[in-house]
Amino acid sequence: MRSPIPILLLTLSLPMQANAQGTTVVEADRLVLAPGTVLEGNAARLAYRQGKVTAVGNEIPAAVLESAIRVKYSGTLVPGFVNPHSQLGLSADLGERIDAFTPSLQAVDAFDPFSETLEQQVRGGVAGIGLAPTSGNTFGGLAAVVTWDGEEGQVLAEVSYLKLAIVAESLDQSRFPTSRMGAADLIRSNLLMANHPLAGADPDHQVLKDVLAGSRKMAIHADSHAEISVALDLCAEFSIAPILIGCKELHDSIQRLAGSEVSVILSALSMESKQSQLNLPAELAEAGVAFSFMAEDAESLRLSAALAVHAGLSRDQALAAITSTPASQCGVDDLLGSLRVGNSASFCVFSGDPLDLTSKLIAVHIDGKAIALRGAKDEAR
Amino acid sequence: MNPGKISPAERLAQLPKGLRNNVSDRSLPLGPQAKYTNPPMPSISQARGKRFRRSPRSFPLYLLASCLWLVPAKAQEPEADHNHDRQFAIRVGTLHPVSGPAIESGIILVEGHRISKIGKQGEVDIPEGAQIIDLPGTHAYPGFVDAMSGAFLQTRELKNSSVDGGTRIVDGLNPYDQISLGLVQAGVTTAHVSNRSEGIWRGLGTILRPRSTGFDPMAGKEEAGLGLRMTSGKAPRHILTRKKQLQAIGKSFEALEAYKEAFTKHEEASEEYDEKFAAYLKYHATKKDDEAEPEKKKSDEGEATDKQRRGRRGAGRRGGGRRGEGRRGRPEGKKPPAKQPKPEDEEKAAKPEEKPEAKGENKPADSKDEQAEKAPERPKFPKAPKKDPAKEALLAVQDGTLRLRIEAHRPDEIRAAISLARTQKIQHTVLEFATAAGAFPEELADAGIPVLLSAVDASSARIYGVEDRTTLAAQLTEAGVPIAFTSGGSNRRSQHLPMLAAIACGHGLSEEIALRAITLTPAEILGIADQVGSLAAGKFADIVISSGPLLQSDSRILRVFSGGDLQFEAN
Repeated sequence: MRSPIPILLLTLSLPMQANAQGTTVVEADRLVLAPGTVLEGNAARLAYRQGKVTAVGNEIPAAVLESAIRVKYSGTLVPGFVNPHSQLGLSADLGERIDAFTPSLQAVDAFDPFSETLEQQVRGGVAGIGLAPTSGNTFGGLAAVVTWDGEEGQVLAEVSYLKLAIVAESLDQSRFPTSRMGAADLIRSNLLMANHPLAGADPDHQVLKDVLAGSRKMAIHADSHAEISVALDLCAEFSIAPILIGCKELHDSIQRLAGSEVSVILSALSMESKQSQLNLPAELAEAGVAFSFMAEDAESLRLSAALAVHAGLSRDQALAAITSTPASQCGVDDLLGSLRVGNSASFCVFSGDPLDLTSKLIAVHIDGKAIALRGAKDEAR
Repeated sequence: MNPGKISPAERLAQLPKGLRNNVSDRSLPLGPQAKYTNPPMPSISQARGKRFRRSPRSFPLYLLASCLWLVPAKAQEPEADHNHDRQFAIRVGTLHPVSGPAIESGIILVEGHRISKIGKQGEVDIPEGAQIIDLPGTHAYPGFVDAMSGAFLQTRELKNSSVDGGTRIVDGLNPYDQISLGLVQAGVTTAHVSNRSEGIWRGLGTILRPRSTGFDPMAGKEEAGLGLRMTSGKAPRHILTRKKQLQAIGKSFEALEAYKEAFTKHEEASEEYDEKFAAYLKYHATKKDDEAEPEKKKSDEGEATDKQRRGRRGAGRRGGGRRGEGRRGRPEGKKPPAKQPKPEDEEKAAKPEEKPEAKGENKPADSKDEQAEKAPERPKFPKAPKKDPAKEALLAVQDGTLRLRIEAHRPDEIRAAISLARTQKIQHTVLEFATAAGAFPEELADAGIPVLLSAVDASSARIYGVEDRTTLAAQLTEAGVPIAFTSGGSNRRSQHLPMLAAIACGHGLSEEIALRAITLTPAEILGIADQVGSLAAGKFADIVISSGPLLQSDSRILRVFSGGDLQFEAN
């Protein structure tokens, strides 16, 4: 044997190697690549290199299998969760209430990479968070998608969807609009102006132009039935397929959404939620409407999915609501939401099915790097 | 008989019986046919002395017959009688008795309202004529026990500042509360309802059995626990302020000794009074006989004194009998007392104003040899102390009849609760929430105090200074403290008890203990483990049938039996 020093260096630098050069193959009892695509038994393995998934299942070359670092977990491996709408505890910094029309403001400018809420969410299994402006403005601004790599926060997408709000929170008596009527007028007039050929190329209307052209998504926060109706009417006027956020009283409008491209971000379900809210996910799934959950922490996200399953939603659709659907709503489905080749190697491992609350979170990997769980000491894998 | 013309006798016969007596039909011939004639109207002076009947003779019979409808409403299920003999068997996929290991291909035999036997299919004989319910592939669990529920409470009770230790919560429940009616659908068959009011003493909680149409109070458990709020709430307050509050609570128990003493003293005083008064009466009765003087008194007064004396023996509180007694005691010839004593003042004790007079007057008349000693004094009637329901509740807590349920969150609050239980030697103390107890669970274990948990899910909010509440259940169980998962007073949360158990499992608790924490452990904590909490012979037939293992998210509850009655069936 040659001198042990290179091997010693090799072993000492293992944690960094996993990211830098070598491939890591992770195995589990069950591997869920995407809701509906499950690998089991010997095929339940995934290879990643430099934070990106290189091969899955039986397609992993034997050579790679031999030379790679093998990690084995006993449990179910699922893609990391995606929380499509959160303020990460920065509500004060993300709301510019003075002017209700600020679509060009970017939430990423208020991002705090050392935020404790961010750290806790990621430690709980959330791989990506849609950092959105608050609902204090009619036109809040552009959301961003962020994550945490174990040391500090990282931005995955600087601009994602345009956040609007028509809830009571967005109405302020000290400035226009002070009523829902005024809010609807504000939205309509600005969208009309954006279409106008003589409209200025100011950044605000540029954003609206993108929305109208279809290259940028628009998300509206509306809770009550009236607010949801107004939002849908406005979007129908301009042929926009919005993302609806909140939607506590959506059950009356579900038929209207069926067959359209509208998707929904539901507020987190809890054990205190009304039965009508608990039944919403199953009804939306039946109508073929895509939906996801938003929450302020990882456990609430999982609890929402579990409560939806308890109320009749299928397990696949519940998992989609916290992985693939929010990833596509935020526009980061090439990175998160599923473990296809080329996606980020961000996943979490549970002792059983993650939708059964009896399962425990065993491991979280963000971009291939292991993250210590909440309460556990930081250790280099 | 002429057709078309009715004879008076026939007409009389057509009348209702009661009216016949008062018929004043002048066409009635007075003869053997007409036995009843209108009696002549008596004059006023005659009526005074006699009874004048206006109503038919059979009126009392009608009155009695109409009163038979007033059957007192029973608290228990009115179908109790004809369901008492029913027998049926339920065949399930897996039986989870909780008091024992799970049984595959299980069967439960129900007789009346109770379980008569459980076991494996084929090993248990099904009695003849018993209905068989086949539910293959399902899982059977005992009905859940929610030990800290807010079911059927009226919301204004929660903020009612007049709630104190003696308020009976069972008296203020609303059986039509919509959300509470969903409890039995979610499998909760027994619930301890308590108040979450803002005051220190929270009233007497009750144990009831929810139904699909209301609830039944559990027999003998209408007052099951006294609530005590030993916390200053979520808003942070200085520790010295909290300490003062906790000390004030301890003082409530100090007044109990004096209270109990007042009652024992009153009892002794009453006995003494009875003896002395008997002697007093005897003395004056013999004295009166000896003097053989007819007493001149009005007949109604004499009747009044007799009645009053009799009344006093019975009710013990009328002080108006002195009038007659005073007179009796006085020898004949002396003038009556200067002022007339006030009639029946129940609150005042017997005034001794007549006593000196009576005494003084007795002295000269005391000329007998047998009664050489002084005449016995008129004893003073002892005033009964007022019963205080709040103090009665505290006494029951000390006896062990009532459980003391203390809500405490912060470490100093929990420790104050433990020390209160110890110093006052309270037999059954139960801690509610105990949020910060994860740091010192052995203290609770040593004191033998069980804990009712509610918030087992993780939350980013740092409530009561505790960062992580998820590991509390596991830490307490490890130290040997019995725990139960409850709704914490929220009716919506009551419908997710299995999910609470599942969350606790996800944070380290074993599935067996988690399941027990929503069934048998709360039953034991409430003291009703002989009636509910597990599938065992002799207990109530409270059965929850689930489509899969209860702690799995996609298991639905298919049927719920409460006391053998089907309360919910999923479609």
